[in-house]
This record gives sequence, C-alpha cells and structure tokens, in this order.
Amino acid sequence: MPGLYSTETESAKILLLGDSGQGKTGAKAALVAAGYKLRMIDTDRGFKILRSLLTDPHYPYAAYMKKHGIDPGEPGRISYIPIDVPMEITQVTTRRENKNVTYDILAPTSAAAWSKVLGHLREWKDDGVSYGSITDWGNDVVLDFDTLSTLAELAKYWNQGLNNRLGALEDDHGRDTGAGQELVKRLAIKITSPLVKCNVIATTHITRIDLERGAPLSPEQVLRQSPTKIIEPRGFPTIIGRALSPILPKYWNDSFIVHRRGSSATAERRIYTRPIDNTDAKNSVWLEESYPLSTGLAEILYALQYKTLPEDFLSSLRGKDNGGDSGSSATGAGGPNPNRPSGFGSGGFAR
Amino acid sequence: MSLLETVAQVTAETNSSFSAEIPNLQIGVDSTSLGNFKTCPRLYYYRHILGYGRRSGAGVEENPHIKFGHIYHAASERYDQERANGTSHEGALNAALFFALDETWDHERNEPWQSTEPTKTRKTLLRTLVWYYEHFRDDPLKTLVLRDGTPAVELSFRFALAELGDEDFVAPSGEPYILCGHLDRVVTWNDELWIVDKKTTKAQLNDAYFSHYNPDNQMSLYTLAGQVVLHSDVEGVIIDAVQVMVNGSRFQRKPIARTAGQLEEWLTDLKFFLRMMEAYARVGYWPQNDKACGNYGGCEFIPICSADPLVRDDLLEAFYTKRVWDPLQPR
Repeated sequence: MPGLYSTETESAKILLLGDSGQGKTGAKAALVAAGYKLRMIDTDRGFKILRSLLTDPHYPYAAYMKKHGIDPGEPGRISYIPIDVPMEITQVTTRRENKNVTYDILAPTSAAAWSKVLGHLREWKDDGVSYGSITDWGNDVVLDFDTLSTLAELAKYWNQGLNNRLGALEDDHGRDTGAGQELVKRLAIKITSPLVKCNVIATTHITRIDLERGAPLSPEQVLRQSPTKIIEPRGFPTIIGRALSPILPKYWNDSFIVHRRGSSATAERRIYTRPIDNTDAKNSVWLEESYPLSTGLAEILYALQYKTLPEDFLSSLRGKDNGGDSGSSATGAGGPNPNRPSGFGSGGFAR
Repeated sequence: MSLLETVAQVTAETNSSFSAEIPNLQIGVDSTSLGNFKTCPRLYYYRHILGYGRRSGAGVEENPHIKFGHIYHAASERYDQERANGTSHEGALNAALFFALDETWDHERNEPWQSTEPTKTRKTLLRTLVWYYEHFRDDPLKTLVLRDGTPAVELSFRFALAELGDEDFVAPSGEPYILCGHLDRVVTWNDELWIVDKKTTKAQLNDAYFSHYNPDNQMSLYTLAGQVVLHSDVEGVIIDAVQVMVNGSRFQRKPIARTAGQLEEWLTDLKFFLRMMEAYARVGYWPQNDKACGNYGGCEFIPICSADPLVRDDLLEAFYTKRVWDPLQPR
C-alpha cells in the first residue's frame, strides 16, 4: 500500500470543460511541449489547430521543443485517431401504430465508430504500429478524448445500430440516449480506474442544466413551465441527454474549465481551477485559481504529478493570454511574450 | 437398497452429467441447474436429481411463460439456422412459423394451445416472430459461421473449470467439474464477437428490466463460457429482449457487461456452491429455501413442499413427469 508521501505512481485524470471556441484542443500543445506523449481520440476533428500550434514557427512551441530536444514528429510522440461518421441520406424504418414506416433521412452511415474507439483502448494502433493497451502506458502519456461529448453521440449510434434503427430520430422512452449514457458511464469508470496508469483528459463541451426541480431540465424547459421564473442553470459536461451530465464529474478528481473573458481582440482565455460561470471545478492538489491557456495544462499536470517544469517553460511559452494576474504567481514566471505573433492570445488559439 | 440409493444409481447410470463415484453429485453443471440450486436446493433436487417436471393436463396447468419462451427460442433457432444456410428471409420465416404453429397445436385434442396468460398466446407468439424478423430483416448482427461451416446457433459448449488454472474445481472423487450449456447464437457485430441471448417478457424493456441481468448467474456463466470456448475475443452477451403485450410486441437489445473482477468473484462463489452441492450429496439431504417459493410467479413444486413429507412421493408420481436433465448432451 502506498504511503502518505508516495507519489511515484501518480497520474492525472482530468475532466476539461469548455464551450466551443474557448481553446480546449489548443491547450494540449503545452503538454507535448512539456514532454508528454499525446494519444488523442479526435472525434471533433480538431487536430489541425494542434498541428499548427506545434509546427508553425509563428507560435513558440516549435522553437521551445527544438531547444529541448523534443521532436513532435517522432513516432509515438503524438498519435491521434480521427473518428469520423459520415452522414448520408438513408432509408430508416420505424414502427408507428404497429406498422413499419420507412422514410429518407440524413443519418450516420455506420455504427462502428464506438467499437473502433474501444478497439484502440484495447490496442492502440496508428499507421500499423501498435502502442499496446492503455493499461500498458505509463504516466508520461496523456490519453485525450476530444471530445467526450461527441463520443457520446457515437455511443448512441452504436446502440441504434445494434437495434437496427441507426439514425432514427425517434427515441422511444429515451432508450437510445439512455444506452449511450450507460456506455459513456462505463467508459468513464474504465479510464479513471487505477488500472489505467497514464494520464487521461476527457474534454467536453458545457451544457446548462437546472436541477432545482429535482430532475435535470434544460433552461428552456424550465422557462416553458414557468416563464417568469429566474433560473440559474449550472454548467455540466455535455453528454447526450441530461441525466448523465450532473453525475459524470464524480468519476474525476480534477475538473477544470477553459473560459474566455471578453469578446474583443483583447479577450483572454484561461484554464480555471475554481468554479466559474456557475460551472463547478475541482482539484486534488493545490493549484492557482487560473492558468494561461498556452501553458496551463502542462502546469496543472506537472502539479498533479508533483513535478517541476523546466525553468524556461513559462517564459518561453506564455503569451498574451497569460494576462499577468493570478495565473503567474505559482512559478514567478510569465508576462507577455514580446515575440508572440498577433492573434496567438485569442483568435489563433481557439478550438 | 433404499429408494434414494436406487434413484442415485439410476441417475448416475442414465445422466452423464452426474458423478460416477459420488451419488447425486452433479459434475457437469449448466446455468439452469446451477441457478436452480442457488434458488433452492430442494427445487434442484426435485428437478435435476429426481428429474421431475410439471405434467400438463390432469388439472395441472403448464406455465405459459415457460412454454412461450421455449417455442419462441426454438422457432428463432430455426430461422437463424435457415438464414445461415442461405435460405431467403421469407423461407426462413415460414420455417419458423410452421414450427411455432405445430408446437402450439394440441394434437391430442386437435385444437390450438389455450394459454391462461393473455400476453403469451399462440397469436402473440406468431405475431412476435413476424414482427421481430420484419424489424431485423437486415440484421446487423451476423451469425458466426464456424470453421466446419455450421452456423453458431444453439452452440453447445463444455469445458473443465480446472482449465482456468484453479485446481479447487475438482470433486472429492477426483472428477473435474465441467461447465456446460448452450449459447443461443454467436454473432459478429462491428468486427466483434458477441453472444446473443433471447428473452421474452411482458415487462417494459427499460433500465429496470435490463438491470436484472447484473448480477445474474446465466449472464456471468455465458460471458465466461464465451471467453473460454470462443477464446478471449468475445465482447460479452447481448440480451435480445422482446416485450410481448396483448396488442403489440417491442424489441430492444442491450449488451450486458462483466468486468474481469466480477467474473473472478462469480467463480469464487461457484466454488462455494459446488462445495455445498458436495455436502448435500454426501448426506443425501437437500434443504428447502422457503423464501424463494414465490419467485417468478411461484415455484412449480409448491404443491409438493406444502404437503406433508409422507405424501410427497405419491404427489410427485401423480402430478409430475420424469425426464433426464443432462446438460452434457449436445442439442
């Protein structure tokens, strides 16, 4: 049994929440720059921004990695599995009033994506090279689901396919949604298990849910019922339906929010470790209240693993999005990078 | 030789699943016999050692749920066999329907089966078969074809539990315990192997219904069996459930998962149950579990257990029929 001060086997299991365009995917560039191997299930097809950040000389990561001997093109350093489910016009048959009704609909063409993801967790294969099972990996690896929200849709398709109604719009008694939620819950249990020793980031979008009435309702539902009611919906991970969203965070000890303050060119994106905008966050070790997006995930992961970043990491990589406030005090480094290309801090970092 | 000794001798001579050395000790265990033993040792004794089952007629009604389920399973098996052998959907469905029509015809009285349960009738059976195979006409689950060309339908399996690396799975006589049974259907789905088990119910097919299968003796046993006899490639068991109502039938499939830890726990428990079987067989006494009599609409042996012990043998002879339950016999 590990002792109180035993940290040798520490790995981080992070739930990373953020609305679309806040910079969730781009934030992972810092992990690669910090030396982690990144294995990404890319259901949102957002890898392009990460490639740009890590290879384009306008951004500081390529120069930093070169200086520190980190080759992002090295086999196994970054491996991403794009998961795509094409939509086609398909004939769907459903039962209405005890009769089969067939109609054309734009629907997913395959239910195999969920199985494909599970297959990679069992044995991660990229370009014919096997990297073993996720249970074989150490804590120098980050397994990233980008995003779990989209992956949940694929779980629903899997169940629809199993029941021979792939793409059906009707969801009798919410069975397809419920089955998808159940599959995602099991996945959460699996990837947060101590048997998985690598770091795991489950990236999700944010859904606003009202819990005041005993059941998870959308703000629209509440307002339809009580148009004059003042509601304060809370932010939860977006997972098909609403039933699983408030429950999912319990599987993670660390939950952070990527959030942009402001909307102009001076907008600032940061990773928050404290509740913000009625969305809960939590951390298992002491962390700053927020971190700059350009370095934040690496700072957090290093803190969760009781490690110290190289001295020049922050000074080399922090951009305008640092903001110079609470995020810089943990290491004493930071401040705006005078060599930062325009757009790095806000628009160029969004995904 | 006492009556019990005679029964034990006859059982051993005619039932290959029982020990040749220890009277009344079952060596080849399947999910039904193990499940009944777990439910009530006396039920297990009557049904699997003495081999009694309810006799239809003579004032004793058949359990319509069990009859419906048996015919639905067997008719489905015919459809799956025909389809796997290249027969068209219509041809396979006709074969299944002819079978169901014949099985639900009382040839002695020359009249259709009169069910006492409104949801489980000849009409609802035929309708369910037609609707199911209409809905799954292009079934994404494809029946696995074995190396010898036969479809994996009603696939019989057996393996010695000691093969799992635990020498405790051996009877005191030295005979190895065997786990055996029959898998409804093995299919491929998204390049994965799954075991499909069909279920019929009048209950709603919601989470509450499917939650009955975890924990569940049969599902744990089938998952384990799949991993052993089909190697570790099998993903798990899919419950292929049908809700049969008076005016309609609904279908829902759901995978039932077991973790390695859950299977390990099930095996540990099995070891204890086998030790209990040995103990009861040794003393020749199978106690009643009087808290299970009302399960699933009531045990078929309630009339026996509720009678005075002195008259039970006569009641069994009068109202029950005998057959050999030998799960080691392939179907």
